[in-house]
Amino acid sequence: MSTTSSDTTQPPALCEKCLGPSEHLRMLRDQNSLECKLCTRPFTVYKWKPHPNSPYKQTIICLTCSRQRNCCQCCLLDLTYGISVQMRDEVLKMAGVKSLSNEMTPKNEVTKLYVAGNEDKFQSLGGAGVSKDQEKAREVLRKLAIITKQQEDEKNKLIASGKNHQTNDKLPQNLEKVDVTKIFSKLPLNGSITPEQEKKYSTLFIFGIDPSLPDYKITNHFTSLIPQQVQTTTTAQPIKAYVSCQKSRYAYLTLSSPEMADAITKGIKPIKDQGPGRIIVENVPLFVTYVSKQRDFAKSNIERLKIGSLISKFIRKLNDTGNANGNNTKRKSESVDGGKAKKSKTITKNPEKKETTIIVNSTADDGSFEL
Amino acid sequence: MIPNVTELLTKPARKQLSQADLELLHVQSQQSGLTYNIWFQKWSHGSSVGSSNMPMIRSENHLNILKDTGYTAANPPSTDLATKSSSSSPSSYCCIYYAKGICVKGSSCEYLHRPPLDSDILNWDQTRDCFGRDKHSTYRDDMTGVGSFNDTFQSTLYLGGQGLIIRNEASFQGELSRMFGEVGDVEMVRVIKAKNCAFVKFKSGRSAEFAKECFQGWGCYESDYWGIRWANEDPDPKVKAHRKRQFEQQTRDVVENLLKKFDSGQTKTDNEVVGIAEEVEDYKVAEAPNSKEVKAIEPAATEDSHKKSIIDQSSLKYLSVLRNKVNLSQSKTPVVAKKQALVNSYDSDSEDE
Repeated sequence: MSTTSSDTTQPPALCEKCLGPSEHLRMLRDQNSLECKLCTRPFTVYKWKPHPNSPYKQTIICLTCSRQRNCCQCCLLDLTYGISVQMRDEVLKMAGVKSLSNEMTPKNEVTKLYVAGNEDKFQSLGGAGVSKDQEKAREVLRKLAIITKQQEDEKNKLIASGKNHQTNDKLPQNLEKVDVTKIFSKLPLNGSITPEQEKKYSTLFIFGIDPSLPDYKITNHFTSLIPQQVQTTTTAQPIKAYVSCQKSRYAYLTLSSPEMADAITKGIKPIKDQGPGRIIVENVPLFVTYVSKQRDFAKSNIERLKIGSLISKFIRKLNDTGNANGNNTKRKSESVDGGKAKKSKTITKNPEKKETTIIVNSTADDGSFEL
Repeated sequence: MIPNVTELLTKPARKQLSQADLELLHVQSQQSGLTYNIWFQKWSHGSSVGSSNMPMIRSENHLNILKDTGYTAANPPSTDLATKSSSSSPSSYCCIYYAKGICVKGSSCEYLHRPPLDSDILNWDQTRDCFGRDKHSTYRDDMTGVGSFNDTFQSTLYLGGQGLIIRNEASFQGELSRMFGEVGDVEMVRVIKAKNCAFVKFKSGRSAEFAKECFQGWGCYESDYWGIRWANEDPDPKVKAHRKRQFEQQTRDVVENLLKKFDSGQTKTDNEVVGIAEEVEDYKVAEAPNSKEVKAIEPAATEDSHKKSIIDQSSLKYLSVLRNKVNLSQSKTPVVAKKQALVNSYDSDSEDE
């Protein structure tokens, strides 16, 4: 086990943030007192107080490891950029730096010692070679500025063309054989958001959720829908439980009381007279209906995926009809369902303006929705 | 749903346990197994009862976040309001005893009695967890313990163990999301009844660290309990792709911040250099200021490649300006000695301590 000879004579490599704001620092030096957390060799530890009243900070990796990674010996952040080493490597990759030397950090015990012991062979790991050089580091930032601008432009273009939210599902091939009609037929996809007079439900059924939409964003959105007066009068948590199955793309939201549910659903507009309500969270359209009771999700992954794909199809149709209802789409209403609709009813709306006929596929109403 | 923490912090933190209860707890924790072998006078079976890694008994003391949260000596209310910037040490961590529900100190505790917040990310070290304990470079083989500083994106917990009982998948999932949602934003809860385990993914790793200690040995029903470990990476290709996208988004945010810092930093240092040049009286500008600036960085960087890590760019420029001045006047300025002192002061003394 060898220690680095330069360790004892050279000052530690530390970032400004770790050293603290004071101009004069007192440091304690302790030779070979700890084992480096990266290469496991003993090294000279420095301790200091960044603030007069704060606890001691100390170096946790040796100077060799710090130099190879160009990171602070205390907080392990990159010395030039002030970000984590993993993030730095990713940033450099984004900037198109190809020659990331020794990208893999050693994991094996012996390799760790070997890499740390041969500093002249392994002068820099990952993107350390780039960020060590001030000029190169600046150049990378300049490049990044251009790249991020391009990406933003592309993003804006995508949003403008309306293809922002795209789900290109690559589903397993044997999915068609999976039979989920038993579970799928019981889902209240055609339920209503308008509260009924006789039956009081406190559970909402939400479908259309996406893996990109985390649970807390949905629950936060629903709590924000609660009117102020209700919020102040009740002390209990408004949301009792939120149970989601992201693979199946639906969730149940149980509220503390049916009154609370009514208060929330008042703020949600139904897409048609008796249909589910639609809200938009983070550019993802969600559909909300009342449901009498919470049912179990499908057992296996493949069944869940199948239900998810069925719901995706259902939502696509719902969106089409919803857009036609909104009166601002160029698409003609006749083309919404084409000849696919077996039974269809026509609703006439907006008698003052142009007459738009909407064909609603009613095959889904009785639950036997087909692929 | 996270309760409104700022509202809770207006009252002092309460003592979760009396001193007598704590002593009783210490006596109980000496039991290191499930059965007492009277022949060997030892506890046997389930050696990990005492350790917090994988509990074999249900924990008795729980954190009640609404009742227990409050201000402590680490964040007294006066510093929270106005003089936050002037308070000397911003980096106090959460109290681990508070998380476990056994802190006897209450408002006199030197650690925070509240779950981690988003604002803590800036103050806390990446190499420490939310309780201020040192992290390690890798996980333990059984995925218990404090965690790894190399895996900066870890925010998923694994719930399992022989004490875990899942009666109904959906209701269990709802219960988990309610319980864990109190300490942080939950991104996803997944319950797998067939394997008798569950996964909880948080928005931030700090919340996961807190929840791991907080909910260790809890259960949803009367007698059940679970053990919590760190989760391995989800092998699902869809999740992997999503994770990659998320990471790219994070990278983009980081880059944006870097660019902002870079822009503001550049102008700032330029101004500083100008200011210094005015101060130094007999400093003569022979070349254009732009070419000077490039020269200013290079010799310093090549001469002492590791020192530049300590001295920031502005001081490097400052030094080079002064070096030029030294070349002209052949005399040393006291300011140089002061800056050098930071670097070299450890060399001579403390060798024979």
